[in-house]
Formats: sequence, C-alpha cells, structure tokens
Amino acid sequence: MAQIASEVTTSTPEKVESAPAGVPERAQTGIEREQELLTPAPFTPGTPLYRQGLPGIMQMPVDLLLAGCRESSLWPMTFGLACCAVEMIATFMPNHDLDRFGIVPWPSPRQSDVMIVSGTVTKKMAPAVKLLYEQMPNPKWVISMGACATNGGPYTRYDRVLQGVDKIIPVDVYVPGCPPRPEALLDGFLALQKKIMEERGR
Amino acid sequence: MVLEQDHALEVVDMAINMGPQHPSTHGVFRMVLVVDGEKVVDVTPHIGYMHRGGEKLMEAMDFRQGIGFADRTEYLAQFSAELAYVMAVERLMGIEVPERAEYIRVILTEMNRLSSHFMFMGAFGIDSGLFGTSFTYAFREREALQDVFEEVSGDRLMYAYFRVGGLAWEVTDNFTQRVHEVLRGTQQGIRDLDDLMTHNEIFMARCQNIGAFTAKQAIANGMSGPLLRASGVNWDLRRDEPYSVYDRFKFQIPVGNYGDVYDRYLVRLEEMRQSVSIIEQALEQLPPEGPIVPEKMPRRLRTPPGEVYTKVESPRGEWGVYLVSKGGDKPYRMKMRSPSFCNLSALREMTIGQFLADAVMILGSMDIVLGCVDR
Amino acid sequence: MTLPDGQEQEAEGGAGEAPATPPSPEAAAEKPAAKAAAERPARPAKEAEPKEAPRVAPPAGSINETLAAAAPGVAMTAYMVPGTRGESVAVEVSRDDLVAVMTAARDDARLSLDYLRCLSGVDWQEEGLEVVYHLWSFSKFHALTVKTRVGYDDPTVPSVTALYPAADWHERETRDMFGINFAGHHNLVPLLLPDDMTDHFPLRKDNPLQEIEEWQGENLRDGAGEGEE
Repeated sequence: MAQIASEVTTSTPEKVESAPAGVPERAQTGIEREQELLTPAPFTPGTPLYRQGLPGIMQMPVDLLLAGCRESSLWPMTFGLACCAVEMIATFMPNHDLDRFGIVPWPSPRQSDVMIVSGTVTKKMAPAVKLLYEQMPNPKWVISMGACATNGGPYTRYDRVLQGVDKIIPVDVYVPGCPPRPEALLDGFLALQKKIMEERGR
Repeated sequence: MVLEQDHALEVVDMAINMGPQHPSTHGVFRMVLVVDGEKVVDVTPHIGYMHRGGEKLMEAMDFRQGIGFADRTEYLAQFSAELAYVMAVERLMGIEVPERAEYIRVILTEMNRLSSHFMFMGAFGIDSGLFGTSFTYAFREREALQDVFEEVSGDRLMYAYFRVGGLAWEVTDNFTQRVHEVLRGTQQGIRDLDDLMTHNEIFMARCQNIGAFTAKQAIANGMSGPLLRASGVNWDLRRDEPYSVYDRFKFQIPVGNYGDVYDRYLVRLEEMRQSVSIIEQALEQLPPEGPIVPEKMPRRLRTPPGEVYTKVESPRGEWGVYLVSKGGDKPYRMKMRSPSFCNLSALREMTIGQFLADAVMILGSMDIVLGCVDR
Repeated sequence: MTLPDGQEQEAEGGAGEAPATPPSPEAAAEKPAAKAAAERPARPAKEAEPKEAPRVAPPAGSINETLAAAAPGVAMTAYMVPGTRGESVAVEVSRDDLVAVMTAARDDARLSLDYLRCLSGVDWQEEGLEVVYHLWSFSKFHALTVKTRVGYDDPTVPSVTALYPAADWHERETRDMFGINFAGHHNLVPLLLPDDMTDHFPLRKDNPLQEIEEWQGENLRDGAGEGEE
C-alpha cells in the first residue's frame, strides 16, 4: 500500500541550468518550491492535521484513511445458516441498529466485505462456504458468530458437522454464545473495527 | 434478404440454481429449477445442508438436556417443540402437569406462535418485494415478545423453559401485566402489517392464484398446519385432538378456499388474531397461584419402556415426537416429525407450471425453517 | 463414545441411590430415617424391571379387526400404544404383507386412513430394523400405527410412495439414516447426507458420535491459536 505523504524523499537538486533568456529570475526554482511543499508536516497526535499542514490541505497517512473508511462501512454478506441468523437479523433491525455503524447487509458476496458465518456449518455446506469466501474480493474479514461456527457448538459430536468454520476459512473475530445476543454481535463488529484499524498497512 | 437456414434455432430449457445462499432468508436450501422461458418445468429441491444430527444427539442426552436440542431444531417456534418433547416424556412416565403450569405453557406457546407468524410476515413481505418494511414492523413486535420471554426464561431465543412435569421455575410477578401490555402492542402490529400488505394491489397480484393446492393433494402429501387449512381442510390439532388445556378455550379456525399463496397468508394473519384471543382467555383463567411441578416429582427422570407419539400444533403445522424408550433416562429413538419437512416435500408438485418469480413466493408461503427440515 | 444401553445406566443409578439417607445429627436419628425408609417405595429388584413394554391387546371392535377383515389372510399382531391422550392401535405385519395392508388401510371405506403422519425407522439391535408408519383418517377420526421389521442381512422394505406420496422424502431419509432399502421408490437418492458420505448410517446404534478434536484455531490468521496439542 503506498505511503505517499509520510515517506517521500526528494534529493537536493544540483545547480540548475539557467533559464532561457527573457524569463525573469525568481527567488526559488520550481524544484526547491516543490521540495518545501512535499516535506511532510510532523504529525502530533491529538492535534487536527489541518492545523499543522498548510491551510486548505489535509494531510493524513493513507493507511489511516483507508482503514478508517473500511471499518466505518463494513458490508456484511448475509450468510444466515441456522438459529444465529435470527439473532443476526434482529441485530440489523432498528431495535439494535447496525446501520448506524455503516453496516448494511448485502446479499451478494462480490460486493461485501465481511462474511458473518452464523450457524452450524455441515460438511455438505462446507464447499459452498469456501466458494463464497473465495468469491469475496479483498480485503475481507470473517466473523464467526455463535458456538456452532466457532467449534461445532452443541452439534459437535455428530460426524457430519464441521467442528468450527475456521477449519476451512480464516476467521478474524469469534463471537461466543448460543445464540449470541445482538449486543454481543455488535461488540464483535466493534472488535473487528478495532482490529482493522490496528492492522492497517498490512 | 432472408437468410435461409436448414434448421430452426434450438431452444433448450435452462437450469437455474437457487443456491444454498440466497437473499431470501429461509436458510440453507437449494433448489435447481429447470425453466422454459419463465415457466418452471422441473424443480429439484436439495436439502441436508443443515443436517446436524439432532435425533442422534438426543439419544445421548437425558430428558432434561434434550429440551435444549428441541429448541435449536425448531428455532422459531421453540415452545412447540419443547412442549411436544416434554409431553411425550410425561405421557410415558404417567406424570400429570399441574394446572397453573399448563396455562402458562399455553400462554407462552401462543405467544411463540405470534412471534413465529410475525417472522413469516416479515420474510414473506421481503419475498414479495417490500424491501425491508415488513421485516422492520415484524421485528418491532418480535422484540417486545422476546423481552417477555427473556424475563421469564432468561434467554432471547433458546428458552429451554419447559421441563418434564411443568416449568423450570415460576414466572415473574408482573407476568400478567407484561403480557397484557405486549398484547396491545401486538394487536397494533398485526393491524400495521395487515394495512401494509393485505389489500396492496401488487401483493395481491403476486399472491393470488399462485401455487394452488387442493385438499386431496394436501392430505396425500402429508401437509399440515396453515397450508392444510388454506386448502380447505378444517383441521387444527388444538381443537380436534386437543392436548394440554386447549379444550377450555373458544377460538375459531380460519380455513381457506383456494389453497393458494394468498389464502395461506390470510390464514396465518387470522391465526395471529385468534392467538391473541386465546392468550387473553388463558390469562383470565390462569390460577393465581399453584405449583408448577407436581409434588411427587421423581428426582431422576426415567421412563418405563414403551413408545409414544405426541403431536402439537406448531405455527408451521403438526410437530410430532415419536419417542421410543427402552427404560433408562435417555430416549432410545427420538424421531421428530417436523412439519416443514413434510410440507416441503410437496414443493415440486406445487411449483411445476408456475413462473420463476412465483417459485420464490411459493417457497416463502410454506414458511419453512431449515433447522426443522434437516434436523 | 458408544451409546450406553439401558443396562449400564441402571447399574449406575442403582448403586448411587441405594444407600439410605444419612440421619441428621440434631433430630432424633431413628424416627426420620425410619419414616423416610417407610415412605420411600420399595425399589424393585433389577431383574424384575421390565425390558419391554407390556403389550395390551386392543379391545373388541377396534380398528385392527376392521383391518383384518379388509386385508384377509394377513398375519398381524395388534396392541395398544399411547398417544397424546388415550391410546391407539398398533399393528405389526411382515414385510411381504405391508403393501396389502397399507392399500387396505387407505382404500377401505370403513378405515379411509388417507394421511400418513410419520414414517420412522428404529434400530433394535439384535431384533433388526423396524419401520413404523403412523396413519390417520380425517373423516373417521381414528389412528393406526403399522410396523414392520426386517433383519440386518436383508434390509429391504417395499415402498408405499404409490399409495402415500408423503412417504417419498420420509423413505429417502430413513434410507440415509438406517440403510433400509425401499424397493420400488422412484428416486432413492441421498436426501440429508452429503453425496460422498453415505457409506455409514448415522442412526444405527453401532455408529458412534465423533470425538471433539483437541484444539481449535488452526487456521487463525497470524497463527494465534497455536499452542500445545
């Protein structure tokens, strides 16, 4: 990921050839002016950047910006498998609203960021889960909601049940519960947001 | 200039896969529709994506642990599933449930019927094109009902509140007032959904004359519940084979005429109103105090050897439990006759000849819960 | 973990509950203990506990007599089984007579059992596999349970899909779970199990539950879950 503002180095130019005749002499050449403009302002945490940089330009590390945008607008793919799906839907509903965090349920995997695996993953369903995960574009995250997606849950002793969805796809946040309360799923999303911010730049 | 061709263009039927993940929130169900233009020629439903072995696991659980499994199998009408299971064990052991417990069971089961039908209204509205409005109304009421369930049993969704012999613990002190409050809100919610959908022209055009099923076909295919009643069969287990204290209430059974999707919706809507009436009658008749488990309750639940088939009228149809016991404290064979499984088996017959868009409506009108289809 | 059979459980239970309640030190020791022992019902000896439910023959004029009249020449054993309230008749027939009995049950005007409520399989280990049909009549308000038993070596039962279309999916499921082959079924493909895992039958008693794997989190990003096994 390019880090444009913070790590740009410019070398001091050698003596420039004099401008052609007829052009007025200026105090600084273009390159020296650019150099001044491109030197990043030192970032003091706690102070708004626009006070430190030049007025009219907001300087911010791009990874911070990208991570901030990604975490504030997570679009989960509604992947309700079993009973946890009912609580997931209840979390989207106005009583425990997820839309205020920018989380909008989206049915298609091709345009979503997060996959909430809510419910038991059986061995018959596992190839479909893997395919859906691969259909999601990067960056993508997975929230494993409920006990069944974490390790098989109450159904773990049955041999047609996958003991946890992390056996086929990498999981970022585990939300325990059977089913987890909507507040718990919300907490899971906030933890994912924190994780996205902490892991930015990678 | 007319091109002369030596053969006509070949027209083939297209197979469309409505995969295990699709936006219609019924769960992991897959059907392969073979369509000719827009008309469905063949449907192959594929289930089993949620087959978690509930029956096998319940054989390894004793009669108190199994109640939690019954909840998780039918996760929208949990109290019906719990009721059938504890009734089966009580019948085998010869236990009589005290009156107060029976009335509270009926009140909670009917409230659960309301919450399940609200979920149906919400999901069905989405299937028919209302992008989210019906869901929002429905979940507003469901949250109010779930609050009462949480106060009583401790959990929002998986209650595990019924026990063999009665209830787990006494209800809260303000149970009757809370239920009255919630019922007022529920009646308003039913009115809202009714205003939103019933006489909506688009909704009616999408629902009427779709998926019509005659009474004879419905009986032959083993259907039950609102689908059977919408097809004209005047049958409800609460009135015709009563269990618990349902024979003390006066309520009506809505029966449809055409068996199409619109009739099923109307039957469920009217059932919600009748449920409210049953709950009100039960609250009046509820004994103000009394035991909730019988006095001579055995400490270890052991059934004598035998078998029993109990059935309750769940919001989806007839939920039956066939319990075979060889003595001991675990069931030997615990078969759950789930209404969604039996109703869904008729999907093929209902959908062939309809348009593709109607296939979604037919599936929605069956109100299946995949946990109970696949168990 | 294999499923414990009834006998093991009773051994545990008997040993755990046999000793008398220890007398409380403050109260008069003998009286409450003796009273408790007198009030507690006599525990039946282990050998005397029934292993099978006693079979009660149905009263005269029950549905099994009508069935015997409708399907003559069929050997059947009839007894009562409990329902939600009251009891109904269960009839055991042999596999070869099954279709005749079911046809008579559905078509005979006195029976008109046109509704197949439930079709289940039961695995009685030494005694074979059993298929149980619960039938109901809407017009006549009576129920009938039909059972048939087959051995492990030849688990084939004729299919009743032609009579009761409701049996279609039930038979497919019973085949998946128990391995009972339904002869004459038009589409006996796996219903609930994945296509590549139909070799062993889950609901048979010799098929145990799987063990919980030792540790989770193998696939966590950053390898966070790695620890001792």
